[in-house]
Amino acid sequence: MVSKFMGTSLPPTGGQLESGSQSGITQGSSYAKRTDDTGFLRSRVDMLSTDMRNLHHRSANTEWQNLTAEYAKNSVANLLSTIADMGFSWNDIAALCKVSVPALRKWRRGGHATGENRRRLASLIALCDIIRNHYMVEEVASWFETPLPGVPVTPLDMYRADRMDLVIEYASSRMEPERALDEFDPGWRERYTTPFEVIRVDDGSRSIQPKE
Amino acid sequence: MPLRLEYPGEPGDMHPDGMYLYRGADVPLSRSFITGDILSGLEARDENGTVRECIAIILQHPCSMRIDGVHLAPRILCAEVIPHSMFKPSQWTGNYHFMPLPSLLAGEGGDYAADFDRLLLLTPAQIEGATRIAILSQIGVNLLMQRHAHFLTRVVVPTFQLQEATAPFFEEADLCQEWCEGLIGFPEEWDESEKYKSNLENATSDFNEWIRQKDGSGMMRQKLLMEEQTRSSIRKEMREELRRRIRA
Repeated sequence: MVSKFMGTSLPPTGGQLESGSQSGITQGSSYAKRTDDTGFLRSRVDMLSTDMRNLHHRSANTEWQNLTAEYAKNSVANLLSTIADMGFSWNDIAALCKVSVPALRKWRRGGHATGENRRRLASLIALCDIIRNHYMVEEVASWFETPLPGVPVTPLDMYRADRMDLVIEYASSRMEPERALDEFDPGWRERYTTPFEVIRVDDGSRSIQPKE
Repeated sequence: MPLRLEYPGEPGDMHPDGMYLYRGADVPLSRSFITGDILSGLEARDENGTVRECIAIILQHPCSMRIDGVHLAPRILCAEVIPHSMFKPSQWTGNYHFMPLPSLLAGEGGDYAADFDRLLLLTPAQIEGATRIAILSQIGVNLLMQRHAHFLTRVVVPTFQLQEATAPFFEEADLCQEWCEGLIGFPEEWDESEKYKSNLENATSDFNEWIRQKDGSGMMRQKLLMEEQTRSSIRKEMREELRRRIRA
């Protein structure tokens, strides 16, 4: 690429190039310095980006913890009602809170839930708040259960695996689905390779057939 | 990589509990019968004509279990469930004519397996008159379908794709259960079980009517359950409708 620009006035990076009358050595030195400088700047930008990503995660995490503590002051019945009103299924709520469906069913009937379980319910609501308020996701439950493109992995799966960092990154659109999947499950390409496809048939239901 | 028959859990880490939605006393009366339900108190006839009590699991696909979307079909395909030692993860890839049902019953000796070589065709009366001792989770049903399809055809379909194809049926069963429990309460709250059953039938009919109606967008709610993106909106609408009916 460098040779392409030698002796021309085409700016490779937006800056003005040296004139063609200068010696190749001088030009070489100039490009060497530019390479050093831009490389250094890239490194700094990368470091800054990493620092900001970490700071953003820490900030979101602190906000999440604080909101969780606030919501945890509510009764279990109120917490369940809030989550249900968002449109989550009871099966998903149970999975997200790491309890069985029968246990959750007992809470719905007024059964006792431990403090840890109350905290889990509160933390789900808190995370939904963050996603809705910061990233303009209006239908949070729908967003949580919609698979990433082309694979059966959803933000629910990430939450269930305690990868809140990925949930937030993906919700913020700062992370491409493929990168989120690479971080979540490096073996996803192999895991979801299949000779079949699920298609919609005439009556609207789904069928499975070999890929064409 | 060749496709293999799967087992519950992650590679090398089996989680049999994930196969069940409800077991034993937790099984709710309010849930519609569906693929993967395990029933006890049934009768099976041996080759020599001897009648004996047995346990069976429903194999019939959910889309063909009901003739009109409401009433059970005249014959429902089931397989007998028999006591069997626990299958190790490596044994799930073989033993083609079995569907392992680890820890089906509590305590020692609680491991069972469905035997695809011992099929039964049960009538609605037999199913409704039996005792439901377990309901498989979606994971359990996916495994059951994978093994049964493989037993019949030697084709292995990944469970994540079986899930994609059948999730709407299970979603509807979940919603119907929630609707019934929301309107008539939980069975434990009723002294007379017959009265509960009668109310349950009415509530189920109401649900089936509601889910087949069109929503505000002009789409049938049942169709909207087929899409992951629109399921939560139907749940929300149903919960609002339940509140409206309870207030009325």
